[in-house]
Amino acid sequence: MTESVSNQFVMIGLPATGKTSFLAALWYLVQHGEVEHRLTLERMDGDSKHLNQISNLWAGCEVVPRTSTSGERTVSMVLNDTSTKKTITLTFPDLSGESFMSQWVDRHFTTSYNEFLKESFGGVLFISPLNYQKPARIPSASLLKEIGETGKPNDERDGEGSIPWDPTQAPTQVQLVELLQFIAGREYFKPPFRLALVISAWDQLKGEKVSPQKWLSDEMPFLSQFLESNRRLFDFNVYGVSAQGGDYNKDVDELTGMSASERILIEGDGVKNSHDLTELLTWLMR
Amino acid sequence: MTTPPQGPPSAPVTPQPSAAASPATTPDVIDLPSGNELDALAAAELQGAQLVRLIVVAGPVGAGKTTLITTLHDLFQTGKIGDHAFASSRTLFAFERRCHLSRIASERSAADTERTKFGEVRYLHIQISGPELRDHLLDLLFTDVSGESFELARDSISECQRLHFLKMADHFLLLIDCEKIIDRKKRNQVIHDAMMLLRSCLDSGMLPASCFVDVLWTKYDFVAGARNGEHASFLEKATEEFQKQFGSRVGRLSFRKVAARPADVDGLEFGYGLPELLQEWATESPRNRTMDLLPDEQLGSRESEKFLQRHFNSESDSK
Repeated sequence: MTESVSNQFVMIGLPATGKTSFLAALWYLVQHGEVEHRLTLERMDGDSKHLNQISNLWAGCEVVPRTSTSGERTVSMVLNDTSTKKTITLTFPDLSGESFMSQWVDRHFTTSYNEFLKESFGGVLFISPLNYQKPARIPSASLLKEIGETGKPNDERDGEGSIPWDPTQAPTQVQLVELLQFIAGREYFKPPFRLALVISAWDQLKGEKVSPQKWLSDEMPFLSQFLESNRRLFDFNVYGVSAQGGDYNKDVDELTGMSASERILIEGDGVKNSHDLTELLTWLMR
Repeated sequence: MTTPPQGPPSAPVTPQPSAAASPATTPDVIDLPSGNELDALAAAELQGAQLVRLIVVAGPVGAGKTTLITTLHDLFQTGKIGDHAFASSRTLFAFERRCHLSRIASERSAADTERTKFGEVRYLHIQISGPELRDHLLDLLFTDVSGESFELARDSISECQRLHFLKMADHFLLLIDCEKIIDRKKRNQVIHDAMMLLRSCLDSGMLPASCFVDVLWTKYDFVAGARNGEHASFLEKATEEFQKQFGSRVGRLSFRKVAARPADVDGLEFGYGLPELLQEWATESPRNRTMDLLPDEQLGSRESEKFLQRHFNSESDSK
């Protein structure tokens, strides 16, 4: 009889960081033999409408719509590990980035996220290298000249000519540290929590010739220090992942000229097959 | 397979202790720590399983107390500070709010820091890791107290005795504003006021004789930028006077030049002087002891408070 295991992982990420594109590419990859991959779809199970919809869009090089707070759901995949022959049921909550932003701003979990987290073996933290907020200090920039006409109207300023603090504008790395602190602070938290960090849209950084780990320590040193200081809490690995394979506007001819699975790129410590997104999952389950 | 979001909540999970008022909740959410400044109870809870160093940041209004602490938070956002790395913080939300006026997003023409309001004592928290630290982690608690409170303490022993946290200070930072030092009319008053504050803290019996006192010449870019040797020699004379008055009354008396957010002056980078201070806090402490930050009148009847009283007060004098 084939051994069967179930694994739940949380997908963590602020808005527009590639969580749904990752799921779409993964769902396509495990069903097709266009490239080698360790985990394959063993059987359909239950309702796959959402996964089918997003992977169809992805396969056609169409933008996968971001998950809205009202469209949040849990997705499951019954996969076979071609190496160990085990049956693996993977479950992820497909939560909106706004839900995670709300954790930082409003300081609460939804009970459904909390219940899911309780049963999770690890998580995948998504970071977009194209869209993140740095801690831009006034002395390090050319002050209001750069803001110029994009500045907010005067009626939004406080009495001293400042725009009031908006926590959504806090540096991305600070917000992400807080999201991880929230996880580590739960009474049921059992360290070490396996955490795969995904730097998405990795194809857009090809010219920079840096490893994902180096990108993280250069661009998000606060988060990087937090993780390095807390290895007893978080067992982490950093991956650069391109689920799309390129820019759908600029690179569409090139992208449609290859098999859909070949568009997937993954880079990181221990990655053997640069198209096999499931290597990240096997690292989480090792 | 997909399933819709899970249904109505099960029994709410007990939230972690929050430092300040919790946000309004609806039944399907669970409160998380507020990330705001810690009150005395929350700060005492922090001590439960960890070694904490209490850094008292003292000085008059506008001396740069909050800027000093928030600049540490800002520095960690650009990388390690010396050998020390950021490990965690229970007050990230508070740090970010305080940093706002120094960020482009505020659309100010010059950096500023939100003033600490007069009132209850609050604490900001940073945990650091470093090669020489036990288990590589150390909690630093910084007082976040208004300048008005220290001005009252300077002028009144009884007011000073209200600053209960002074008894637990590992490092007492006495901030002296160099923007005022370069003003000949003000400089003697500034030094006099600083000495009176330190004297009041010692004479009231609140500041332990073992405490390490650091006199910080804050906004040192004003002295460096003035390029006037007279200012430097004034600081030397003031240093001698401090040594004469207080050198034998505290565990150690030292002097440092600091410019948290310096103007464009040669040789003064952002956070000037802070890496050396952090190194000192991480490696030097007058004592190893547990923390008792709760004034007697704040010890309540709740079980959690009784627990704190039992477990922390009884050990607080094992110095």
